[in-house]
Amino acid sequence: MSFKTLRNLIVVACGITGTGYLRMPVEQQLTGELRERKAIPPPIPLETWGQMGQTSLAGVLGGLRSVMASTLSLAAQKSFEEKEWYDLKKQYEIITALDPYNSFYWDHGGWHLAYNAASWARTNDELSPIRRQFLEREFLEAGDAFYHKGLTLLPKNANLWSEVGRLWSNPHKRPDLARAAEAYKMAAKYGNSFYKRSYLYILARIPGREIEALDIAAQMLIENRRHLSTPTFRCLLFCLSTNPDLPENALKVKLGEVFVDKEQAYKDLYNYRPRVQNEGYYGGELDKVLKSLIEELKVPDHLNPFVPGSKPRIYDHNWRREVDQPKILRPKTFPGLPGQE
Amino acid sequence: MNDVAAVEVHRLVKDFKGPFRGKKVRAVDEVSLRIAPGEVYGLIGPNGSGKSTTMKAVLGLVRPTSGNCTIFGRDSLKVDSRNDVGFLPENPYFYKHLTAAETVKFYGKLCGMRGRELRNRAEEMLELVGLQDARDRRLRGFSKGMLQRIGLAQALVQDPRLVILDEPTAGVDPAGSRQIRDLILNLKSRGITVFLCSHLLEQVQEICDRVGIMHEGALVNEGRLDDLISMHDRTEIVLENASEELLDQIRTLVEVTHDVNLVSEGNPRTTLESLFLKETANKRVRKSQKRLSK
Amino acid sequence: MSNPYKTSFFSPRRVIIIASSTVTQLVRMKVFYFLAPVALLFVGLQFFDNLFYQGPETMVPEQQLRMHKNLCLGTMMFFTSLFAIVFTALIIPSDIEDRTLYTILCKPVPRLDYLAGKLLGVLSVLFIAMLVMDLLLVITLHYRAATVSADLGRYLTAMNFSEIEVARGQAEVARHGPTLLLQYGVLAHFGKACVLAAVALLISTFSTSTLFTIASGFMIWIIGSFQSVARDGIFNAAEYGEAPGLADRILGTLISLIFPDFQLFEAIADASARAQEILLDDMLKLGGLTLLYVGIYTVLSWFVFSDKEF
Repeated sequence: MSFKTLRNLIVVACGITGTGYLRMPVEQQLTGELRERKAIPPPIPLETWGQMGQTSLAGVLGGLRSVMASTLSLAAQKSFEEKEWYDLKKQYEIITALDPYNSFYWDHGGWHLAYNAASWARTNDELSPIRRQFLEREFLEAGDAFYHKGLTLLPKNANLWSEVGRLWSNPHKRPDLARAAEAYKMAAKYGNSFYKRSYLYILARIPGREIEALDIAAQMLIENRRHLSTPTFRCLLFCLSTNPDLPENALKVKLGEVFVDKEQAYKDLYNYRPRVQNEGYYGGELDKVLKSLIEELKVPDHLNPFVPGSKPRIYDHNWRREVDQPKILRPKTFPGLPGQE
Repeated sequence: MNDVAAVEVHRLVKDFKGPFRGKKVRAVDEVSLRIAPGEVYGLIGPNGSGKSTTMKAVLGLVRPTSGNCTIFGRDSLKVDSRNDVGFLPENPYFYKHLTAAETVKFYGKLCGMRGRELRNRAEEMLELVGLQDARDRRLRGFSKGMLQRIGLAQALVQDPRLVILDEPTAGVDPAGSRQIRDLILNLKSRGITVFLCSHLLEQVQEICDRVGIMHEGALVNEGRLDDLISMHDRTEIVLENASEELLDQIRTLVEVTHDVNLVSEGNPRTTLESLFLKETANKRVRKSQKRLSK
Repeated sequence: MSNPYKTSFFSPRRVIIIASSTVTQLVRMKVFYFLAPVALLFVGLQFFDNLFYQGPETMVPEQQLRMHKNLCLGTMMFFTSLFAIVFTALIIPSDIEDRTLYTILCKPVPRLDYLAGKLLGVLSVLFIAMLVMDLLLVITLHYRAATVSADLGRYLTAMNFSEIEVARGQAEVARHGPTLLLQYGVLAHFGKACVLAAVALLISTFSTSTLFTIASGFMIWIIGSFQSVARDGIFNAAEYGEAPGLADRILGTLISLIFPDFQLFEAIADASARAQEILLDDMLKLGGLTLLYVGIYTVLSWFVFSDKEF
């Protein structure tokens, strides 16, 4: 090597390392600030580097993390179709490591584990009953853990909180309403009224939290009277306000303030009653009100819930003229609400 | 006459690293030459004699191992020195994506020209080299001769005081070659200094005022062309109506004899080619004698 | 009559002249033809629904827009980075091989002007390409966002959400549309391309082969994408469990000092695709770092190139 080449090499090396010393602290500081604001994802865990295939690695090292995550999520579909749940779990771990601030992947990963994998375990005849139970539980908890891992990075993501709530309120899984309520509470805190409504419905199913539920319902009504367009909300609001243990200053609504007319009230409460019996919704003085309306409206026996063999559900608002055939549901207007005349 | 030389090369040495075991190759060995302003200087020599390296050192394209080169008194390694220089390389290539006009303007802009001055000058140069009809053609479609001419145009665009031409007529047909020769003579008549390298000795003989001969890195001979190619051991007297018997008496008689005109007196000429071959053969003989004596 | 003007050490005008010649050269090499398939891709994405999209009731309609943005920004990053290396690697060796360089350097053109002009020319071409791709992205994203927003509005209204909530939902979709934040991501990718071009320039000044320059450029691209991991290993060793050994520390330090940190550029672009907040201050710092990288590589290139013989 000639003197000139050596000299050039030394100068270039010194120049680059010298500027390196200048810029390294600035880069580290900027990286730290961006990480705090969650603009930069956390470092990819060491074990995840090892799990990545060559293509993913090439993509990551080329700076195409988000694109690789998108591509891998499409590839994960194959694992879902082939019911390779452990592979699917690993793939979603990689996907969420690549794009950790995308709630979509946490949602999907959790859904695959807690629903698809758990259902597969529960219904798989090739496994023994004990093994089925064990696996179902394992996948459920894995799904929940996956959601919560996502929530550590995205604590204000209402959708993820809602998914946790939905999981633990699902009657076909292992419902834990208290756990679901906490999750829905967080979802309601960060999300829109849809999540608040879900929180309300869960609270209304937990014995001892009816007053809290009524407070929520009252808040929702004040924010937007259009909530009254939802039958379950109407019924809940009414029933919760019939709670004999309500404090003095609690909201107490009358039938006419919630329902358009007595026919609508009867229909909605008739349809709500099975939910009280099967899903544990708060009933309050539901039966008393129904009996009173039966007498007042001269309700026929086939639409009387206290008569065995009565219809399971009233579909039509004009149920008085209802024939034996159930009507097809179609969107209804709500007379009395603004713009609905 | 301006005291400052157009080109001055002082004891130029240039070594290159050899391909094997880092052994150095001396391409130019203590070359010194001086080109006066307005001269046409030809540097000739066989392939590998160091002509191109000398030229590149003058242009600042290579850094001398020792010695220095100046252009109009300015160190050739400094960018300033190139304000006054136009260079036409051997087998010139230019950006093929540019048209003829764009090429000349590009080089003009690099020399600091702009606006109308540049446009007019570019047109003038294209006309000078006979390429005005091809001004909007891309160089990709140019023949060798046309490329040489565009090379001349870009070399002259900034109206330099010194023009350096490396094999200006190499590969050019006789007609094109003649045109280039005429152009060089035109430059000379305008007082522009021309420094050229060429293998075509006949052409060098036609246009150069002074010539340097290089061989194996050294300048083996240099001087005015007339002096170099004159044969000093012979005298030539040109007489009208003279006989053989009068030769001895001519000098004493010429002054008193009124009917005889002494037209010229001088040494008969050989050709540059012969001189060149003689010089290079001499150097080879000296070298082999040296080796034998060791 | 000779030109009496004294040659300055650095002339922006000369740099621009060489840059515009480089732009012309690249344009006439038809480099912009690659934009045609890119345009097809961007427009084609309009018609490709996210595989998992099941309508606005999924409550994350902006996911469609994220995928669109990720793919488009990823494409822009890939092409600008690739061409930054390849164009720069080709430009100077081709001048040397063609001996075009001789005629340029024999004019009063300082070598720094030549290098800076070549680099500026390549960056100008990349900038134009980036601009076109950005325009395509903005237009296609605008239409996509409008469709998604309209879908969401209809859905939320049918679900009897209040007008405020409908507006809030649509505003959230708009936030993921073509905003200024997205342009930060585009600028971040352009910054990365500038650094890669400057790196390729430095390598090409001492490399004897274009292929070597391109291969080295790609290596630096890849190493630069995980330089931050090496730096984290030194500054934030606790995150990795145990403190690194001496050899690891030395290697990590060398990688952090020598190679540029491309992860910053990529992360800011990713954050912009996620509509994550990026401050102007962050962009100014990133811009400063870009200028530092480009500046030092250009100066070092000039140092090596100034002694080069032809």
